[in-house]
Amino acid sequence: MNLRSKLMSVLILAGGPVQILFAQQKARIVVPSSRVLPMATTLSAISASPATISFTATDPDAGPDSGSSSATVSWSTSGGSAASTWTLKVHAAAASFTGCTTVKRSAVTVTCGGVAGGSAGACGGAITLSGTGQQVASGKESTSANAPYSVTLSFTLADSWSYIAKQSPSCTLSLTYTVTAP
Amino acid sequence: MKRQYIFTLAAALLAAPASYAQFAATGTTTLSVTVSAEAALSVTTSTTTLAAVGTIFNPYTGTTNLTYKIRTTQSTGTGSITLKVTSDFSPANGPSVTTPPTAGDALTYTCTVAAPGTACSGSITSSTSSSTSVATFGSAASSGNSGNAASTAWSLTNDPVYHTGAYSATVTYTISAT
Repeated sequence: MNLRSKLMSVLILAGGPVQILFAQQKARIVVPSSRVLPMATTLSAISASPATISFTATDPDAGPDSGSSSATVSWSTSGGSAASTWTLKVHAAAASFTGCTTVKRSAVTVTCGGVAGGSAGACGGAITLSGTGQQVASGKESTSANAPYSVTLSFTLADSWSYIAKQSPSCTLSLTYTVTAP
Repeated sequence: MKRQYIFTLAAALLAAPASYAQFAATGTTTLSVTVSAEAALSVTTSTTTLAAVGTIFNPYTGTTNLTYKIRTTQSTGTGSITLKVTSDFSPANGPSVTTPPTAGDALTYTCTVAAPGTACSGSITSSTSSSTSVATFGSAASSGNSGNAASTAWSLTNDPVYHTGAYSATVTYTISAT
């Protein structure tokens, strides 16, 4: 009887239909479907290809330099919800390129060129790199297991006469992509 | 013991937040840049008129202004601005850089150069056979994006043997950077 009273209290709090248990039965909890808590989306690791994008700053008067190629940022999700929105943000922790302190991260513009995977994928506007994550793309999650996503990003570097020339070794800046999927 | 277990589980379910947990993952890309040494200049005084003022037979003088842009390499870079008379005065019977009508006649200049350049020193005699210095630059030098100022102030001997008339010569400026 003591067991019955405790279970009654729990199930009433849950707000759904209850199943009365008797002391002789194996105890179990029944949660109505309307009260089932959703599973969070599982994200895979994010990969970016190619791993390195190169710029050759040869003539500041010629305008911004395009990177050697665009980058494709890829990941996958499982347990996603079609009602949930994923976002991709990018930032650079360092204020300038390593070895080229005159080349600031703010000289780099990131532009989303396309989104694949999930639904309603959309590019954000071009962003100037900063130390905080800025959204470059978003979309709705796929409900499939191991659902793939990819975002194509292009990069431009604003060349400047104020830069100090340095050709070898080249100067580098690490970008970090962050995908958030609820 | 079993009762205690059941109650704990039920309490955890009821206490779960209404919002979903957030999961995030990160990835990286490396941006790489090579910055080349580069230089450019613009002569803003396309035609410099040399004129004699003041006392009779004072030298003909005038100033050529230019704007330079430069960036040199860290540690090892250098740069320079030079000039050369690529076309001597014409027509004949006037001043000449190559063959002055009188010994000592010359087209000379002095330099003014904004940092990071170092101006030429003193008065330099121009030449049609070799380039002469206007400015030099050291390593890790960089100009503004709109360019930095420089100028050459000319002085041409006012020799009485020059026939009257207008004479012109061409001077070519060259900038380089490593």
